[in-house]
Parts: sequence; structure tokens; C-alpha cells
Amino acid sequence: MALNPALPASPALRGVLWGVALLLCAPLLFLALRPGEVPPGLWAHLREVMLPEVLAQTGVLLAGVGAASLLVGIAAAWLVVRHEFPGRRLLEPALALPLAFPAYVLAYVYVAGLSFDAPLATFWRELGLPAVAFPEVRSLSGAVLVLTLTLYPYVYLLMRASLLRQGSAAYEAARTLGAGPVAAFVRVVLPATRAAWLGGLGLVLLETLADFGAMRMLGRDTLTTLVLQSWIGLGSLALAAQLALAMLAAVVLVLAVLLAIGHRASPAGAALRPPERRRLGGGRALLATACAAAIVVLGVAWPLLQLLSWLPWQDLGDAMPWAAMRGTLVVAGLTAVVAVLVGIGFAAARRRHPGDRLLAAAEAAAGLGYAVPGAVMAVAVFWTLSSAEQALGPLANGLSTGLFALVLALLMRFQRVGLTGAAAALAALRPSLMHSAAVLGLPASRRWWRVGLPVLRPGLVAALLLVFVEAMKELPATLMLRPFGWDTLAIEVYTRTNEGLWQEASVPALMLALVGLLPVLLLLRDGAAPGPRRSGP
Amino acid sequence: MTPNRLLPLAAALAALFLAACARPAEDAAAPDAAPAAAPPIGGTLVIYSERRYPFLEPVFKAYTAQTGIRIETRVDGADALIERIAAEGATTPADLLITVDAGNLWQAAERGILRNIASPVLEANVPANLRDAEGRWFGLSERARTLMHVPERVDAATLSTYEALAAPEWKGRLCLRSSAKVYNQSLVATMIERLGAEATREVLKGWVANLAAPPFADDTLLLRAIAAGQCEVGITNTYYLGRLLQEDPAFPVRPFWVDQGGAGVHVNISGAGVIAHSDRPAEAQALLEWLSGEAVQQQFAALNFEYPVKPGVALDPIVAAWGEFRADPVDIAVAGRRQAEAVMLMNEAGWR
Repeated sequence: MALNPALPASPALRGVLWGVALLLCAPLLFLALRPGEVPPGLWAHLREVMLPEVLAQTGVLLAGVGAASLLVGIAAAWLVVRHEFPGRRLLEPALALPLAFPAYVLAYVYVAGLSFDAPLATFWRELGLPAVAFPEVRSLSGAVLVLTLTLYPYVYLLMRASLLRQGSAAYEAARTLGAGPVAAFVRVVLPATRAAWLGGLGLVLLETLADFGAMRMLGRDTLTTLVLQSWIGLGSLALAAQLALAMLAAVVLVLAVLLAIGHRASPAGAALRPPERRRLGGGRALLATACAAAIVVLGVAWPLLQLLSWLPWQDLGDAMPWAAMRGTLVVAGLTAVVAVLVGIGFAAARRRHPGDRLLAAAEAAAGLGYAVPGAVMAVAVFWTLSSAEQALGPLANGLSTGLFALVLALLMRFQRVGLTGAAAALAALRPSLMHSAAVLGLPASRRWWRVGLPVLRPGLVAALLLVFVEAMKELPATLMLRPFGWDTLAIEVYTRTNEGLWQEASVPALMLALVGLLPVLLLLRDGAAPGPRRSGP
Repeated sequence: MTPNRLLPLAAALAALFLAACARPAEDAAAPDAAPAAAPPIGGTLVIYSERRYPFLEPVFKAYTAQTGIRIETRVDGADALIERIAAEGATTPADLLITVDAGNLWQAAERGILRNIASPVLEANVPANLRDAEGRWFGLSERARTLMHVPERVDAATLSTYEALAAPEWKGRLCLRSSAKVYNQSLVATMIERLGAEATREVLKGWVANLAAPPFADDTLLLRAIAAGQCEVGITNTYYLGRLLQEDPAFPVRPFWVDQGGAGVHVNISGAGVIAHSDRPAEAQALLEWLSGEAVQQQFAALNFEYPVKPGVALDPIVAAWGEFRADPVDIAVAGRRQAEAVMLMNEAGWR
């Protein structure tokens, strides 16, 4: 039973995992292979009019959001893990909270809250400041701001967990050996945590590429909105499918680059002692508190207060979307459980057969859907399942209109998160740990129960919650595939803002944020203790 | 520590999972049970609707009370609904499709998912330019898209046509909604029909050059921007103004009825068609006819401050206060026929 990295996976294991990967890719393949004629002139129109602008805009967004998220996420994690300053205990969890907001909710708050007739802009003009100098959020820089605020927590959370695990010994050693703080950070800390911040960056870039709701609200054109325009405005699903496939190629490229860099990351062992915090004094402490607080205000506090101020207090009872809350819990919960189970399967197999390239390829394939716009995913799933229905007859009745279709689409979208999360969780279980348990005479079943599970648990809980939040926030695929009676909070926000009912939208938006906050809080608590925990008496 | 907290979570998830599994079974059982129970009275009509449920609920409830027929509504974007109906083919549960833009209804008819209906009732109640010539879809309410201004600030005498807003004197004074919204695409489609593509392109370029702010994501924000003075004139649907006036009677924006000596105000419809593969086409048609009747027309339009399609039906007081107008008599199907062309022109003009 000893691990042998040289051993390739058995055909059965390969078959099962490839089967899962294919199921998760099949609808996309179906979309690609389905013959569709693009009406003449449309491609020329895209090439000459839209693509240059859209590609430039998408590129600037990716670069801007990626860079800003890395900067904010890494700096914030370093600050709270390794330093003590006033408010640190409060700010440390608060910095993760923006993860609870879908980008389209934050965009809605910023657009409505910074509109010309809102109190902030009115106050600005009353001060005698020029109206044109008031920040316009419906702009490229506004889009970078909104997306960064919702996405940097990925980098922050992963980086924070990684820093907590590693302790401070290496950094302190580098400092003792004469390296300055910057040099020690760049040459010791960043390489050692590369897997964490690269993983976070990957999530940030893919989310940015796939965002639809916020871009619509902010009036930005990206590849995703162009896919939607091709389908809805220009009326060609074939054109949309071809664009989506081109996007997929871009995603594969991004993932390949990240994988190549991440592969060279040196594995860092868990520290025995929690990292030491350096107490900041005077002006530095003030600056640290101010910077962290500014991020929290922009990303959580102000949006929450805005939403609260828009609540229709008088008829709050009628406005409560109970059914949508239930829908959200079931749909996102199912997706999370399945995604993490699949993720464990892949992570365990990859761990046992690290050299098996076929398995690596299957894993990559299973996570591909992460950057496919939800709407395209929905079309793909729906066509595939309804074709299956027609082919299989009454056996498969309801396949494309039931909960299965929606959960499959969400799985395809977010399996990547489940894979990353499960792999990270399993990484905490060093082989030596299980070997020690074996040497101590624990039988295999109890080894897993007594040693394996407690070590894995925090990581798996984190993975579950990450997928849950993602699935809960998903909009376009849910919109298209939800069965009768299965409205979710995201749908409520969408239908209400879409009709310009901004006040009414505040109720589901707030619920979405609050439901989203709970997993993030749990996530923070579970990541709080460094290293594998002791278990049992 | 954590297991204690996780157990309830896990239990809750498990319970919800069971609830989730139980639910489709109920739904699946319903169609078998219903016809056996009472074929002529009762049963269920399934409506795929782009129109939001609150604007349908009161009339549907009244219909159920009158006839015993239950109505199930699924709200979604028109394109998603049309793809869905097309993909469901003969197995579709849908009986009626309701959308909020003629372009969408035209699209649905093109895809062959709507049934031809010959109904003297609908032909009498719905004007010819607001329904399909082959009887596949019918307008249920009319929505006017016209110029909006604050009369005290922008004299109505300075306003005339949609095209006139392209003139240099409006530089930095005009506000528009995003070109992604189908209402704008339909407006541009009718302009292409009337002015030709070249002239329309020039108008759109002029509009874009005159913008006071980036295009807005919805008409409500646009109206509020006009009220606050960010823009002096804009183009929106009138019912958004109706909602704002209901909340705040002092809201200063008013519609200007455009081009009354010429083409008239661009009107679009919300409308419906019976699904080709509906299991109960007669019942669906009966509901459609009922919706076009005088009493229902009044309520259906008033729920969202729209205009009834049936001539002579009373208006909501807020809507009536804006006065009467001459509507562009163009066949509204052009919104669908020229939609792709309109989107391309808007792209070329830089309207985002």
C-alpha cells in the first residue's frame, strides 16, 4: 500500500476519472461540434468593429484586476498574519468578507450609490467641486475597482492560509542573515507561497474573464459580453459558440502558464509554531489600520450600509425572498458536495500517481468550464441534455428541465474550485503522517478516521464553502436552467435590477451577501490555526 | 470544535437535498393527474414569460378564480425561453410565450415555435400593426419610447424628433441607455426602416458625440440623471417614469411626444403567442383572448403604467396626465427583421 510515484494509474482509475472529466466537458464538445452557420458579414463586422476594442478592454481588465488583486491580497495577508496593529483582530476576518458579494451586486451598489443624484455626488457638488471630476464608476477604471474589490479575497485567503502554515522561521532566518525586509519578502516569502498566490491569481483572472452581470451594469464590453451580444443581439448562437471556443483557448493558455510557474514552486512544510507577529508602532500602525480599513470600507462596509439604506422597511415581510433562499441553499449545496467529492477523487489519484500525465490532463479538462460564460454553459448543457432526452425517449424525460441540468452546469462552471480546494486540502496530509500512523499500528480504516480526516477537514470545509459561494452567486446559467419553482437569490437580484427596481433588489442582494458571509466566516475560523491539528484525546 | 458546528450544517444540507429530490417528483406527477381529474374546467396552463411575475400575478389570479385553470409561470430572458422551447420541441410543457419586445416575438415566430391563430376576438381587439399578420403573436400592451426632459429646464419648443438630437447644439446634453437593451435596438430598427441605414448611422454617431455620460444600464437611472441635471434630454420608455411618479409625485421629468407632425412616437409591445407544441392550444388561446378584453386590458396595462393595445380602454391617471400622442404606425415586426442590422449600426457608431 506504500506510495509509489513511479506507478502509473490503473486503467480502471484512469477510465473512471476520464469518464467524469468527459461528462463535465461533453456539453462543451457538443457545442463545438454542433454544425452552425454564421450568417455572412457577421464575422467581418466583429473583426473590424468590435474585436479590437473588446480584446483591448478585456486585456486591460485582466491585467488591471490581476495586478491589483495580487497587490491587495498579498499585502493584506502579510499585514494581518505577521503584524500587530490596532484593529487587527477585527480587520483580519473583515478583509475576507467582500468574497460574499457577487461582482454584479457590488457593481449595482456602486452604480446606484455613486449616481449623479445620489447623496455622495450631490454633496460633492454642494462643496462646489466640479461635477465632471466626480468619479465615474461606469468606466474601465471603475470596472477594475469593482472586480478587484470582489476578487482579491481569493488571493488574500489562500495567501493568509499559506503564511499561517509556514510560520515565520524562514523569513526571520533571512533577516538574520542580513537580508532587508523587502529582499527577504521577495526572495523567501513569495517563492515559498507561490502556489497560494498563483492559485488565487488564477481564480481572479478566470472570474474576470467570465463576468457578465457587473460588466453589463458598468457598460464594459469584454469577450463574455460579446458572446452574449452575438447570441442575443446579432441573433447567431453559432457565432457565440465559436467565440466561446476561442475564449476557451485563452483559458487553457492562462491555466497552462499558471501551472508551469506553479509547478516549480518549492513545497513548503508546515511550521511547528504559529508565525510571530511584529508589533507596529506609531505612524506605521496608523497607516496599516487605515489601509486595511479603507479596503474593508470600500469592499464591505459601505456596500452593506448602502443596501441597508435602500431596504423597503415598511413591507419587508412581503419582500422576503424565502423561496429563493431555499433554492439557493439546495442548488449551491448540491453543487458544492458533488464538486468536492469529484475533487477528492482527482486529488487522491494525482497524489498516488503524480507522474501520470493522462490523469493530469483529465483533471485539467474537468476544470475547463471555469472561464466559460455561464450563459454559454447553459446553452451547451441544455442542448446536450435535450438531445439525450430525444434520443433516449421516456427514460430520460425531464433531464434537461430538472435540477440535474442546473447542477451539472454549475459543476462544469465550478469544478475547478472543487479541484483546487481538494488538492490543497490533501496537500496538508503529508505521506509521512500516515506512515507514522501505520508504524504505530493503527489499522488502515482507523488511520483515515483518526489521522487523515482531522488533517483534511479544514481544507475540505474550505473547498465546500468556496464552491458553495461561487454556485450561489452564479447568474446566467441559473437564469436559464432553473426548474420551475427554483428561483435563487441571484435570480431575484437580476430580475429586480433589470427592471430598474433598485430598492426592491436590495433585499435579495443583502440576503445573498449575508448568506455569503457565513461560509466566509467559517472559512476564516478554520484557517485560523496553523498546521495540522491534533485530534482526539 | 468544528464538527459540532458542521453537523447541523450537514444535516440542513441533507434535509434540503431530500426536499430537492422530492420536489421534481411532485411536478412530474401533476401532468398525469390533472387531465384525468377534470378536462374542461381546471388543469394547468404553463406560461413562459419574459414579463416579470408581479405584473402578471393579479390578472392570472383573477383568471384562475374565474375558470379554475391554474397558471404556472416561468420568468426568464426571451432568448433563453425561445431556445428552450425550440430545444424542448414536442415535449415542451409551455402553452403560451409572453415577451416584452416585438423583436423577440418575431424571433420566436421565425423559429417556428408559435402557432397560427385565427381569432376574431384578437383581431378586433389588437390593432393590425401590433400583431403578426399570420396570427402567431399579438400585442397585449403598448410601450412608448420617447424623449424625456424637465419642462422647466428644457423648453419643449427646442425638442422635435429623435434625429434632431444628433445636432451639435445637444453636445454634452443627451443621455442614452446601453445599446445592449433590446428597446434601443427596436427603436433603431424602425429608424433604419424609415430613414435608411446610412442616415441612421449618421444620427447614431451624432447621438454618441452628444452624450453627457456613458450609456446607462437601465431607464430608471437615466430618468433620475435627467431629474438631477446630469443630462438635459434622454430617450426612455414612459412606464419607468410612471413608476418614479408613483413613488414621488414631485418627480420633475415629463415625456415629450416626439415627431407628432411626422412619423410619431416609437411604440413597442409586450405580447404573447400560443406555443406550436402546446397540449392545450384552445385553453391558451382562450386566455390570450381574455387578456385582450376591455377590463383586463385596463388592469394589465395599468399594472406597469403601459398603454392598452385595445383602442378606447381607459388609462391609469398617471399615464393619462401625459396627454395623447400619435404613435408610429410602422409594422412592429420590423423590430425583429432589422434587429441584427440595428446592433451592427450601433456598434459601428460606437454606442455601447
